[in-house]
Amino acid sequence: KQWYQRRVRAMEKLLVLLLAVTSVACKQRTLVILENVLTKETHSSFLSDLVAKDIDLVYKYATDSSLTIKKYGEPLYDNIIILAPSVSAFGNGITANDFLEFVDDGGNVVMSASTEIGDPIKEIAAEVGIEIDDEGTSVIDHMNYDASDAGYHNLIVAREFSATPVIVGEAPKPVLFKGVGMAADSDNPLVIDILRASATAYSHAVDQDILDYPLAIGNNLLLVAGMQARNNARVVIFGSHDMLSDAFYNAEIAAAAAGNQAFVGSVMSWALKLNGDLRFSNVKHNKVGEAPSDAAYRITDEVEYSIVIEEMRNGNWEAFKGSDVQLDFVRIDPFVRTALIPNAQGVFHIGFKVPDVYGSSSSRWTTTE
Amino acid sequence: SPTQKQWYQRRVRVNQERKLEARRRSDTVLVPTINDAVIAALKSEDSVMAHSLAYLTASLVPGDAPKDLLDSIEDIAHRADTIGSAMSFDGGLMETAMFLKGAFALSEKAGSSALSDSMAKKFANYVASNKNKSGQSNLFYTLIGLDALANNKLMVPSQLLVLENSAVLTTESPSLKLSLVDPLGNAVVGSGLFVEGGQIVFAVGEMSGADGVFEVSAESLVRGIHKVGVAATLPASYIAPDVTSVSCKVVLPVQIKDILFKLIDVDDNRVMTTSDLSEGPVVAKGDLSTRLILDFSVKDADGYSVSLHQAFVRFTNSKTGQQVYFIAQPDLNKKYNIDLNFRTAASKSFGSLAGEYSVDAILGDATLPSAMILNIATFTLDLPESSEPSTDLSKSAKPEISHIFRVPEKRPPQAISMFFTGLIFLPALVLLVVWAKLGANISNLSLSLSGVGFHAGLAAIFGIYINFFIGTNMFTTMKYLSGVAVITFLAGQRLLSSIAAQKKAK
Repeated sequence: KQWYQRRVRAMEKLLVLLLAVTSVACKQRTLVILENVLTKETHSSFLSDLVAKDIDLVYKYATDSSLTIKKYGEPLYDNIIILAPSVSAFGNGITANDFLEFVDDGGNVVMSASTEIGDPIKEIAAEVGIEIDDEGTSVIDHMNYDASDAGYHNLIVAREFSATPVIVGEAPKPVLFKGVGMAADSDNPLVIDILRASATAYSHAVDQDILDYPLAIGNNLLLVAGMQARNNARVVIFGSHDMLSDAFYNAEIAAAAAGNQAFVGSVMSWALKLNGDLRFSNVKHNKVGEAPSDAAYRITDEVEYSIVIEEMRNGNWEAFKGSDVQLDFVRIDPFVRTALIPNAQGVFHIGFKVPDVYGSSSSRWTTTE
Repeated sequence: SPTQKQWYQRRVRVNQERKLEARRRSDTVLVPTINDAVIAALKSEDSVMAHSLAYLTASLVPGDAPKDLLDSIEDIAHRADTIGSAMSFDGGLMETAMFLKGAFALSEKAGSSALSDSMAKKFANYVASNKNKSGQSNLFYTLIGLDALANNKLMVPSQLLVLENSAVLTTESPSLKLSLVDPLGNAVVGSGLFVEGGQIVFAVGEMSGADGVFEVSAESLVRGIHKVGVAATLPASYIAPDVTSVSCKVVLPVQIKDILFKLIDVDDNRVMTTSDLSEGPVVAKGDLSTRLILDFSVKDADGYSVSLHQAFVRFTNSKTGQQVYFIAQPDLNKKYNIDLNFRTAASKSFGSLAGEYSVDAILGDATLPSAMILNIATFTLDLPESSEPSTDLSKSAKPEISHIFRVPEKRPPQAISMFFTGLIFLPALVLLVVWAKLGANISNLSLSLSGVGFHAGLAAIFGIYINFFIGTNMFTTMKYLSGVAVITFLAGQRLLSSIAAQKKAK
């Protein structure tokens, strides 16, 4: 009996150890690149909010000679956050291309920019389709500046959020912004204008007359821009390094608290794939009335197709509640496109007739959320 | 001889004196002991925190401060990192605040500060920058540090503050209010501020006010952003602030005047519309051959022309909401001008999108109380082939595709098909009739084994052919055919030889 009890206790210890290992391994590893020692102090709330989301943070300085992103061909991190807007060159020979490779490998990147912006940040942004204005320029708004701005009206209140609650949160409050503006090609379907400047805003150097057309004016000027690549990697650029700081989190706009903390928290959840990520499983298709089989279908067969789609909401996988999910039956071009109908458990299904074109086809599903 | 009572009193007094003497002796022994112990402890632990606590301990002990400790203050201070205008130790807020507390306590005891003015200012900048951090520990140590800096009698860094956002001067509030404060935010009593020359807004001289709060009224409100130099006079133990000038802004309203809106037909060279907007916004039409000219000036209350940072003219499409901006450039007389030729502008700026546009002028500047938006005109642009704004397919569900199956070909009605089927079988009937006419008969059919076998075999072979035609493949056909063929061959040979033998017998 003693021997048995000892065995059980050993098994319990092993089980606890296994659970501990897997729970640690499930945490996302995130690299935070800081400009200098002061950044940890001035942006302490931003960093502590990330830690509260159960993310493992690794801190490195931008010019650190031991800065590495990839080792033996594998990325070392799941996400990279760059809080070093004015860095002129990263340490250890890291260039903008290394960050783009990281995005190609599926990693998410979040960057902050400011009026004193350095070349590397501009390059990374340009490669993902977002153009940041030149060094020395600011976003100026003579109509929506904060009351405490006694200078050139570059401390502005931004209210024009994009209509995507999964990124900006439900009913976001106005935020304080002081920094540089961005522009993106309106035809680019991958760029998301998370926060736009108001119609009276423009981007220019504060103390120089405007002789040439600025980078962007009005609603075309972006304050916070995001990009979702085709491999679902996400890139977010905050045009203002200060909007992430403790001073702005604690500031007030017209005697009400500024919405910076809530807004940035919501955008970071989306950027780090803790919110608004989709996955699918259990793809089943078979002839009506029969069990699924690998045999080929004949033309004009009635086929039913079902798929389970889940959405990540605040760290948990839940049934996806989309309304525009469509199924394409494709042989080079889609021959059949129908809507997928969800049932109560979040299983999407549809029946369709196989078209009378011969050859191998594939089915793919899309959603416009 | 003394009484018992007097003897007792004397003994008590002698005892008391003896005890006091012992204590006095032990006091003087105690003080060097504490200081020695502290210095000895520092030899084994060299950290900044250890030194800070040593300074605090030494400041509480009566007597002179040990010279070694005082000298070490400056050395320890040099261990701090300077980033910009802030100085801090590696251990962060706690280490820095405790160092300041200890260093100032010991320095006050010694009567002279070991830290330099610039060090004190940089440490103050660092501690004050932690005001916004949350957490009780941060709040506590921030206050410890600021209290050490503000309440010592040797060197207190002071700061120049602008009160009530008064750096923005308007005709309604033309006074600049400044304050000299210590690190805890208390105004410095017994200080003074002097406005220096080199600027045009304020008169040179002492600012009025007392107890650290000062005010000066603008002499001439000249639009723009001005740097006003101020010199501070402070009591002896205070350090003058780093900032010696205040940036203030004079904000005055403007009005848009002398507006001229003209539409010219370039091909016919005639003026289609001209208006000075006295009757409100213009309603006008134009097309590719139109040239739009807009002139205006911006004047302040005295009638002088002003140039602004932002002078845009915006065209907003009333249907799609698309906005097109043009920059109005001022000429030498500060008169703003927009000159648009739609032959080039329609495709370059408007994307060849026809429709009704609302034309607004947007004026903004740091020296204006707020931006001004003025509606100039409602302009309808006609274009020959205007493209419909392309819908963004990526944002809406793609159109559904249902496959159209191949429709089977039209067949003729069944009656005609049956009639022609009948016609096909007619020659077979003709064949049977002709056979009968020829006298073909089956009278000589022998019912022997070979006869039946042969005819059955033939029928079976035909059956196998029909089966092959319907659906089986050559392999099954050959399988059956091989067996049946042998039987039919043997039976047929037997039958033919029996018929031949019958014929021979006749």
